[in-house]
Amino acid sequence: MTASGDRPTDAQLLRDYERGNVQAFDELVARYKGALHGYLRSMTGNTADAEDIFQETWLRVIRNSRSFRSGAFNAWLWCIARNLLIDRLRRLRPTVSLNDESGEGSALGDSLAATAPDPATQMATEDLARLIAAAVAELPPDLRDMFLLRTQTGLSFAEIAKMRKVPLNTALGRMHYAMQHMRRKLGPVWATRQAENDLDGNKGKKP
Amino acid sequence: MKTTLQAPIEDIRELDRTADRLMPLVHQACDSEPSPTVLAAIHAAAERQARQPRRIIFFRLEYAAAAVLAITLTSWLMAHHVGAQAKAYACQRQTLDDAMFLCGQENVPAAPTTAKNQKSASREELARRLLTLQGLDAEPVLMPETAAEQPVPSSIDSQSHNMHGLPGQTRG
Repeated sequence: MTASGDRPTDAQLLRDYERGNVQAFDELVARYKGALHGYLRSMTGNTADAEDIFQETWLRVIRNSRSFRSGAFNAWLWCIARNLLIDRLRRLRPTVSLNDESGEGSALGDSLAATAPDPATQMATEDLARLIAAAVAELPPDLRDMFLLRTQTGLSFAEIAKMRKVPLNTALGRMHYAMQHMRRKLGPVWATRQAENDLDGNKGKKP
Repeated sequence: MKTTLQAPIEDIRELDRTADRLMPLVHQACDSEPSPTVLAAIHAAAERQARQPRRIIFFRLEYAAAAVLAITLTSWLMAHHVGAQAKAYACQRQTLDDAMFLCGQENVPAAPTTAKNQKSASREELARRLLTLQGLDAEPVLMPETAAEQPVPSSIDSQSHNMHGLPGQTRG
């Protein structure tokens, strides 16, 4: 993250923390807690595991803060979280298959799709958020991971591909399929949103 | 599922645009708050860690000071021991000298001798010992070195050569 105005960068906050300023670390946690916790909850499917991994991720950041020298802090943070997540899911493999879609998510997605309200109602932010959450939960783990990494962390595809150790085209392909899925699931809401965004974008471009 | 796609550049831009538009919505939809217990645990761990480096440095300084003290003490003890040994040796030497003095053999150090003098003296001593072993008196046999160095008459010289009976040499 880059500094905007007086706002210190992540790296500056981490350096401050190394000098003994715990408040700097608290600010760092506050910046990413929502996105990271949400990512972990979306990936694990339950809050308890998400909390465990969330805590362990930050503990590792604390322990290894000196090893972070340069680059994007959020990429490093998500890399730690992903490694812990993979470890956790490997341990759960006998009971939970990583490649299978979550039954709960599918049911939720189906029910949402079946009882989809009219577009006017769907425009309400909460409903839209709920729809997106349900559609994200339905994504296969690889696509969900890619979609969330791109839309939650703001990392570029190249950074994500590097972090995930996959070719750039693989990362793009996964994102492409994820987007297709989102379009399919959100249907008219997506189209309306796209139109709004395009309109906003055009408005923004005018002097 | 095979997810590899040969995406052209425009697709990347399009994907980026769509993802950027979705970002706030996804944050709204998927972000969640960790429990206060977890946040408190993280904060406590951060505080502990922030205190730790100073403590480590303090311990390191303590260890360094202890090491320096130990080295100083050891070297002082060694120096003291060596000094005491030297003093004891000197004392012993003095006692011996005193004893010899009392016995009438003053332990006077010999006058500094040159290498040449030392060499001739040792030769003379060796010759004297050999003669003593053979039961001969050394005095008439040994000549002073100055006398030995004087030129020998030619007749005597040739005689002495002939006494050895070297081949190719005739008498007279």
